[in-house]
Amino acid sequence: MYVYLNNAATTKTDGRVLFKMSKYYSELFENPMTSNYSPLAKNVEDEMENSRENVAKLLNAKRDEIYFTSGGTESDNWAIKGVALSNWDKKGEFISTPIEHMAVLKTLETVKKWGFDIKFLPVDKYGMVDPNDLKNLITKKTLLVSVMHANNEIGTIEPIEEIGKITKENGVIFHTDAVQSFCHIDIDVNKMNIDLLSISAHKFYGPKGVGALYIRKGIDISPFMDGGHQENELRSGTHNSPGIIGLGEAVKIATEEMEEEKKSVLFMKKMIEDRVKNIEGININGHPEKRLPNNLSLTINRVNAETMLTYLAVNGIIVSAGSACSAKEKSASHVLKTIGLPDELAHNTIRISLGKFNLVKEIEYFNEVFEYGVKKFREMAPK
Amino acid sequence: MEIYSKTFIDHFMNPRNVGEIENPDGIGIGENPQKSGKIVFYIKVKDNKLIDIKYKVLGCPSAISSSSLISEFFRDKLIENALKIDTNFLKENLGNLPEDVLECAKLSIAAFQNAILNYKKGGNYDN
Ligand SMILES: Cc1ncc(COP(=O)(O)O)c(C=O)c1O
Repeated sequence: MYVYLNNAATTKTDGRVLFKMSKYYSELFENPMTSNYSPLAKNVEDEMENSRENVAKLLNAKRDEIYFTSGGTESDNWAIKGVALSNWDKKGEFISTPIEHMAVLKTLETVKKWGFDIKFLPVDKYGMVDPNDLKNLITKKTLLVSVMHANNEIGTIEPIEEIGKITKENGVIFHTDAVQSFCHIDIDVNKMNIDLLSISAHKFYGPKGVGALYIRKGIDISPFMDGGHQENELRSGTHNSPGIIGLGEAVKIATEEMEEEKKSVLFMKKMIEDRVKNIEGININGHPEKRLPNNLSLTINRVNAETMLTYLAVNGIIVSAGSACSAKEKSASHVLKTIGLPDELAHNTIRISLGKFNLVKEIEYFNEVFEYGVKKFREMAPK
Repeated sequence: MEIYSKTFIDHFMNPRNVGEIENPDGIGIGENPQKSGKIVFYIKVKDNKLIDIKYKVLGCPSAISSSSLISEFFRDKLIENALKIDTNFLKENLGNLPEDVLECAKLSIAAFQNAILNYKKGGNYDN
């Protein structure tokens, strides 16, 4: 049996998305920006605009506030570097959290080298930001606050609406990395006062290598990719039209099926949680309620995560240790460290992330294999 | 998964000789600074030969596979042979281990050789 429980790393492309995309690689391959009078190119352009519309609708944004990019990493880079470039002369400060994805943290390191100041909000043991801390940290020099919507490792959902209120009151730009949350839980950029928001298609059953940045109208952000005139002169490069159209189709499907997916992954997650509760020495990380429906981060006392991962993989079950991107890193994950897990427990932590294609029988199989593994490896461990 | 050889996975999934030895002739511990890995080897020696080798292991897959391999390979071998090995021994027998897992594998060699040194010192393992 093959059981994929690593949907936070990437998801399988929905067959309907793939079907829709394939046409835009074959007969509808034209570049709408350069084939002005071609009816085929017109079709490509219309479909890309449909995509934009689908994203905008689900965010409660306007169509011309959606800019397609090559994915979450580019969107995060653009949001932060773009605001830095727009404030090059006067400089200023950025506020973020220590549990952001590397796409944000590394970008902040770069703008720091450019002469901007970086400040971090503390997080509690669940990885939760306290909006009151932001009130204290924000100053006249703050240019941008970047707080992720939901954490990729432990699933905690941040108080975005409260943060948005504070940034709005202070006239500061608010960016959120919604790569893990978009198309999985509700987002309303107006209600939440979000100015910039990153998404990535491969996290919601769309294709890899395509994403978007929502930019609220009126926000001063410089282009990050210089070149031709695409995306309102703000993001150059020939459109990845099949990708963009695939992203739009994935959003359309999610708009219709999100609630159903939520119910299904919550049900299956509960199956695992119920089983895990009966095994001593396993702790669930992240906020107990304010968390992504599909994420389950487990710290298993006296079982090494790499060992659990390999054992599960030999049995056909795919989960991850830490975050996908840091799997090759031997040091413990920065998120787990920040929430206060000592090194040895961080090395005992695995992440299970469910998806809409998972079946109850797969979870039953996982539960059996997992429980047996915990027992087996604990028996092998020295006292 | 392909970073590991078939032999490696076989040892990992079916580790040989796991356990403790009552009244061992030597005990050795290997532990990393982060405390995420710990291996304890127990040996019985007769006429300079390793007549029984057992171990307990907490750690990554390479810690498990290396310990298992060592316990099987050195049974009935002279203790002097055991003191000569390094990670090349593991690479030759478990397939080419990537650098980042070698650190854990080294722990098992350390624990095993510590057990032999402990035996040579008279097997006083209370300290
Ligand atoms: C929270 C978060 N931000 C950003 C990214 C990067 O997205 P992408 O893989 O599309 O570049 C990821 C995915 O790994 C993520 O989980």
